[in-house]
Amino acid sequence: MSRDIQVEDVSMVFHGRGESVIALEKVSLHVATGQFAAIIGPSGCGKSTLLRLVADVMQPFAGKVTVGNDTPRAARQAHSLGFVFQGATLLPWRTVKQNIELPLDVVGRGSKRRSTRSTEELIDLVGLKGFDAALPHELSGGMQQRVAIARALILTPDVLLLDEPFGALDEITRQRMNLELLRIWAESGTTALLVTHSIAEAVFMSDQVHVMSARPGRIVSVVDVPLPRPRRLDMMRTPEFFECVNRVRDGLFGTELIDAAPRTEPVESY
Amino acid sequence: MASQRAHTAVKRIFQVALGVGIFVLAWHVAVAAFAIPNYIVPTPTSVAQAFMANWSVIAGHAQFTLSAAALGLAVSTILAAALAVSFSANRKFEQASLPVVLVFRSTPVAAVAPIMTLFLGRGISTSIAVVTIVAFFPLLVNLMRGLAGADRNAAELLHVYGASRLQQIRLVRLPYALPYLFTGLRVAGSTAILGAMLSEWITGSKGLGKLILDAGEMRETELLWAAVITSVVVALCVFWTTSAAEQRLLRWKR
Amino acid sequence: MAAASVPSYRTLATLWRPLVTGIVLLAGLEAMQRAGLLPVFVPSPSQVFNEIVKSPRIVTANLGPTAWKATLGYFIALAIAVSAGGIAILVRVLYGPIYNFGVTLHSIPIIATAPLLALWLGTGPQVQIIIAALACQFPMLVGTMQGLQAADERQRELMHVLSASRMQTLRFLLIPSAAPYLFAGFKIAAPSAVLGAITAEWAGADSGVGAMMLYALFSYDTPKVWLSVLLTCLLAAGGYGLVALVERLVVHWGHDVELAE
Repeated sequence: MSRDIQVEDVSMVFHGRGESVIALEKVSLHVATGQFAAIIGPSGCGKSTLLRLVADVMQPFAGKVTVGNDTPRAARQAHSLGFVFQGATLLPWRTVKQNIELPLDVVGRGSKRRSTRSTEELIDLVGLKGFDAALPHELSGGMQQRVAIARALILTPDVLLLDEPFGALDEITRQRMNLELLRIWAESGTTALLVTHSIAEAVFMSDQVHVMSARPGRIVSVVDVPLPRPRRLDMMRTPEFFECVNRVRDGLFGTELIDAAPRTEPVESY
Repeated sequence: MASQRAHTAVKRIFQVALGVGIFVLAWHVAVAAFAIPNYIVPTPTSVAQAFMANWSVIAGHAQFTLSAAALGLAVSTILAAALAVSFSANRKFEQASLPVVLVFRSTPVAAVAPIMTLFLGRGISTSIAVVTIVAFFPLLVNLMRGLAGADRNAAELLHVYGASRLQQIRLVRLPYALPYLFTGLRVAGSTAILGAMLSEWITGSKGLGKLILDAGEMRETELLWAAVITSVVVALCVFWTTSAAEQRLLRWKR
Repeated sequence: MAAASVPSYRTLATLWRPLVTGIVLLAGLEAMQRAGLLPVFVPSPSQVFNEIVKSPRIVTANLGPTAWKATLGYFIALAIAVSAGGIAILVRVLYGPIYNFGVTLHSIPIIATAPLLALWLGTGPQVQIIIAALACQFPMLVGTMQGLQAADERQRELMHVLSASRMQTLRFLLIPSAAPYLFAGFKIAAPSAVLGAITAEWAGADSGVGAMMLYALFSYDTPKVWLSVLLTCLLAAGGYGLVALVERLVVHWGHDVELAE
């Protein structure tokens, strides 16, 4: 029951003290049903704002956002959105199990949306077996983020929105988590939209990378990633991967790249 | 930026003036409308008259309360700073004595005042001692926080630059601790006035506390109100000046 | 869990040092008094203890009234402060006025209100109860106001994305995240209520620790003065301890916060 995401000519203006900031200017993008898409851009380009428009946390100044055939509001009220925040955003007084089951408390335990997986299976899936009764502050950052992912999956979302979900983690944990996330995503078959500021992460994870520029925030290029699925870490050494990385980089830096030092082969680290 | 601050200050003064105006008006209307007898709630005008008539008496008493509070605060600040510095210099000393200090911290003014009366008799010295003691703990706690709060990285940076101990204190520790001193002074300031008035009350020595008590017992309602209002205004002034000073110094924290 | 025994051992270790300090202090006081090194107005600990043994009634007859006046005032203030804080958060326009009203009430030296209230209400216990309430309202108001705003933006967005109703947001997010702040306020308020009740008793009361204190002070009954001081501290510390105990049970996720004073 996955749905697509359609963003059409969306503009967003924030009114600050006496001055208005154009956060998004005529942004359009489409994520097909079941696809994994990434949005990448410098800080302040409005990528998180875009994600929040899809999640109905904010309303667009102009333009239209649809999730499937519905407005974001209807999609949200139908509980078909999963949102993973930057930083786990767990409730510190709830145990791991209770945090994962928070959506059930809101929607009702008998909800039709409830995942066919039990909470125990989800805990297992994100690799936290035995931590059911732990409180968030007893977990590492990576473990907390896994709880947040399990929480986003307990209601089988049609659309999974990820706002730099692993931004606070170290590189090594981050790659592991990305692999796990892809595995979970492939199993659930939902549409996923990831916001990130890591070029390699964007390319590695998605079918399509939307590159944004800042002030005003707009999409400057869309890079298709032809790498096969399931993704494996060794694919990051392939020419296809580098090609995509370079194209994303071109979109991000434009002419700056030519002005700078002679172009060399990209280094593998990011 | 500066003009905006001036603007908000003017706005704030205006708000306060408006609040006071509405209060006085409501007070007058209420007294008139419900025909409240003067001995229960006097009219604003009669209180103002009592204030004018007893101006020198009230000012004299207020002066005692204020000097007790100011002297006590000064002594307390010196003592608290000395203890906080020695705590930050010697961990063992801190571990041994801090719990005892914390036990005394929870001692209410109502317990301190009679003991001090026993020790120092029924004069202004008791008030000063009581203020010193009640003001001591908020000052100490905040100063300790300020001394401990200096950013480790900033201290290390200075160390890398080869700064001397004195330079470290001057460049990092003091600037960090100063705003905390004012936080402590703000909290201590309001308790200081209260402490001074409480001890005047229990010792019967000159001051606003005694004036209020006497006026209450003599059923001089107008004078009572004038004295109460004076004490509230004094307390509010102390609160506002210390918070303003604190906010100015704490600007970098936000 | 095995880890649980470590902190309890540590509490023990931090406990014995001040305990030893306290015992040494008491013993030293006793010895010094017996040696005649202390001024006459400092009784030995045993003299104060003797007061209780001599007439236990003076303790029970005064401790009880003060305790219940302080408790009643405390709960009245709690109910009003928490409701007012809740309203301030719900109705934004009222936030400033409610807070400023709290500050103003707090800045009024409580003893200034006692003679006024005595004029209106007589010298019955109601004056002391009201003053106890006045003396302790502010930290509870601040705790409520700060606590109900403690949930961060992301947590609110989470509830929004889940389409939680207002009641659900209140129940699942706002109240639990407010709890540590509420208790921080409740804890500070407990000794203040005791202080309020006792000070009000100074202004005139038939019984209570404050009345006992004033009477002893005027009749130069030194041991009794010290006894009443001891009872005051006991009540204040007891109130604080009780609230801290409830906090331990309620805020079990061990989240320590500090109120902006």
